[in-house]
Amino acid sequence: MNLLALTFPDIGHLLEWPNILPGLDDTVFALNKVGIIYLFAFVAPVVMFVMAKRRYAQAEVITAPRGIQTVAETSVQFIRENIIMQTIGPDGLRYLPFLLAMFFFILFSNITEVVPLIHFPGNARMAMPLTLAVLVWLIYNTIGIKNHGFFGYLKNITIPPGVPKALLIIVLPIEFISTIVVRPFSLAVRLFANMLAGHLLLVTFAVLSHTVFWLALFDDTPTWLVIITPAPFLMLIGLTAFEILVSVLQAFIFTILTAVYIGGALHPEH
Amino acid sequence: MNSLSSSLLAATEGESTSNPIIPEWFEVIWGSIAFFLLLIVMWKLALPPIRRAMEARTDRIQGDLDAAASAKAEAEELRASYDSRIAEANAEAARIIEEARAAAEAVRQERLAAIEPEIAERRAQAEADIAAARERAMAEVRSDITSIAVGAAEQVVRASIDEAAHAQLIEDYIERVGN
Amino acid sequence: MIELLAQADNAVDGLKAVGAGLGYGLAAIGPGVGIGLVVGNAITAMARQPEAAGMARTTMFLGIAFTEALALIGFVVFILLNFA
Repeated sequence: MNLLALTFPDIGHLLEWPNILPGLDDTVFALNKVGIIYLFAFVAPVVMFVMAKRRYAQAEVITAPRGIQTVAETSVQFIRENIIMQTIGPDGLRYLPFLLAMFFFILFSNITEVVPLIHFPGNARMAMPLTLAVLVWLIYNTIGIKNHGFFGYLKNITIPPGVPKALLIIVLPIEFISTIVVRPFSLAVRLFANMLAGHLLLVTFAVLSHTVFWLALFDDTPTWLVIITPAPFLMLIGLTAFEILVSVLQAFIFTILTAVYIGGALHPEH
Repeated sequence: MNSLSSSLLAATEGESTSNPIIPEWFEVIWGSIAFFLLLIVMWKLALPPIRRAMEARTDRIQGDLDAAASAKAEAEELRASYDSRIAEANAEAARIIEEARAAAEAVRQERLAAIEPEIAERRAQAEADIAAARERAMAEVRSDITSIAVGAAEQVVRASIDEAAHAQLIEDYIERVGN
Repeated sequence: MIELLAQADNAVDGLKAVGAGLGYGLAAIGPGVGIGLVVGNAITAMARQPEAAGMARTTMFLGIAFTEALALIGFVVFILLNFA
């Protein structure tokens, strides 16, 4: 692709990272930048929560939360009140650790998209979105089968209440496919495609601004091109802010959809 | 170190070797390790103290709220009792004023009753006095007129009529005039 | 013969690119309208009942997520056609 001396990198150049562990090339333990981002998404929330926890050891009386403690407590409160209580109900509180871990893992592996010098969202690779979606699929199906029995659960997911008997022949396969096949697929693709699209968008405008700045150095460059030089860069700044929003929103949506699916398996509508 | 930083800052060169939709196994492995470690740390280490602290804080705040509510109820009660006492005092004061007014009215009525016959007696006496004085004045005027008329007539018709005939005549005349 | 094959290959690549672009563009129409409807109605709900705004917002995000999935599948098709 070459437009106005603009070379857009190949997609493999944007997404595939070399292994950094010596001797493990092309094995399943090869660690690349994406793996490091995933490890960062493990370390960052742990550091945050350990710092918040130390405060409880220090403070003799329980005072109002301060600093990092506020972030930790607000997130716990948020997951509990805005996600679990609104979608599952009080009996969903036992999934709080799982949903909290999921929220922070996705959030921190998304937010690297806009962190300087990293600039790559871990979830722009299909690895973790798909793994988490499969995990969620296993969890809600297990919960459904454990609570309603295999055939009871099958009945719950395939026969929605209030559907006339004649329509069942259409509704039944649709409901079955949407619950068993489409849910995990759309869950994974939603996260993956959002982050990949955001990453490609940022790359596009970064390449564009790099190119127009570079072109502006030459004398024979048309004046209009010099005048619009800052435009892609301003767009890049705006998109960076937008991608921060998208990172948080996608973590929220993945978590709340997980909660919705768990809630649906626990309390089917009758 | 140089190769490490370059392999983190620049991705592989050239054409893509695989489909971007298909996950790489090694990325799945590292991602799963990271996620399950995070899940275990959250579940076993990080979350319990935070939940405990939040619950303790909730309990304490709830306790404070309860204490405040009970203190408020107590204050309300106290105020209600003060209010009732003030109302009682007001009623007492009103009652005392009413009593005093009634007593004053009774005294006034009594005095009035006591003074009434005296006034009536005085008025009767005054009326009697006036009547007597009028009577007396009439008699005086009558005798005076009689003697003046006799004197005048005597001066006019001297010796032609005797004293008795004069008196009769004047008497008739006055009778006519008086009527 | 080899030239012809190379041309055919290029033609297939070109058709793939055109199909990918058209496919993504078409896939974005419906979700665009749908997200507009979802957000517009959610704002109406929030304005009518501000005390239920939290619930309306959560449901709005869920609705956006479900609607947006179609556009994202279009985007994935674009990626598959262009880069796979």
